[in-house]
Amino acid sequence: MSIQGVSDPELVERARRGDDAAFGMLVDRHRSAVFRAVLAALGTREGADEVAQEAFVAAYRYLRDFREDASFKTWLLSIAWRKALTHRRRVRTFVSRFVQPPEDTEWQIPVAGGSQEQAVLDTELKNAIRRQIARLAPKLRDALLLAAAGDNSYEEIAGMLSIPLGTLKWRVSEARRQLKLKLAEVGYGQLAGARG
Amino acid sequence: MDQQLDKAIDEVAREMTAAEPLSALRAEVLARIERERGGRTGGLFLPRWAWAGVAAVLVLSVTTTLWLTRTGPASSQQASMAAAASSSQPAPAQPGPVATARAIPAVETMIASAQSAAWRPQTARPAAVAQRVGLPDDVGPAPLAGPDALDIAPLGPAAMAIPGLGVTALDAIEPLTVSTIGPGSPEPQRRDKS
Repeated sequence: MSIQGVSDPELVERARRGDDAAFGMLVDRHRSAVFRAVLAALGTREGADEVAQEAFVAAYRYLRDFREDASFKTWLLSIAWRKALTHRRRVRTFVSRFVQPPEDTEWQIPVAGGSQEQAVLDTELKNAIRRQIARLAPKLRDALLLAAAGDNSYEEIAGMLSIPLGTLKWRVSEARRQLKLKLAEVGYGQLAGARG
Repeated sequence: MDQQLDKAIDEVAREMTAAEPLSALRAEVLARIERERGGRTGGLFLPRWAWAGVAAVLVLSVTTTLWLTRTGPASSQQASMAAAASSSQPAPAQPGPVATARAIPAVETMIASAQSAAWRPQTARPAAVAQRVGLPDDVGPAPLAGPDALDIAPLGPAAMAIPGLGVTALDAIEPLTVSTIGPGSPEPQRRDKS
């Protein structure tokens, strides 16, 4: 059955009546957005699949509590975000007891193609950016990554994080500003405009 | 350069979240939902607090059973012994303080002997022995003669002879004369400790 012509509220209503296929359609429709949001919070693919599954199962369990004052996607993303934060907190608490992970091992990024020299420069710059993003405060980093992922609008991200839209925009902007400052400190570009 | 950095930041941030979930996500989710639903309807589904209550009731019932098993026979044995002792004791002909004083040590003796008898190994009953030997059932030990009357002298404090108390009369006290102190009178002498 095609899911193109069926709206989220209709699928939700059918899922509430016990139609598992309708809920499966909702899973298919929002799986990427949920997974990327979880990935933005965790920073690694390890555990992201499990947390995404947990988020969908929790959404099914509490489907009757869903009020349609927000979109289903925003509601689902907020569940996924809470699950991801809980997982992140648990993992960091556990890991910090035993291991001090090197920062460079987080977020493995494939190297883009191009000329060899340019590829080396790009790789160095990207690695520097990646390191600085990893060092950002979690609130700034989450906002930046969620906004950059492109799956969700700013309104949806603000709803997911339960913060005002203006706060989200400020966090994204502040994350960029701090990144540029840090990159300037390590020798990337003249960043007079970032010192504001 | 600033725009290039912005572009690079966007690109890196996008790459950091550019991944797709497992293709079996939908199947996994639906399977978990089905398992959860089956666990609730097929088995005995109770919330955690209910399981805690069930466990507490179980522990309480086991503890009570163990306590009754240990203390029940002893208390019931004592009660039956006391009842047997009271029923076998003949009623005093003349109820009074002396009869009660006689009866109490006798009851205590019977209870003590019954308690000590409870720990002896059980011997064959007369009826069973008679059946083995081939005697009729009505053959049993001859009834015992009644106990001899106890003659116990009443205990009490021995009579004490208290001599009469005599009080001698005291001598009369002479009246004290105190001279008044005034101006011109001699200064009273002080007593020095040394």
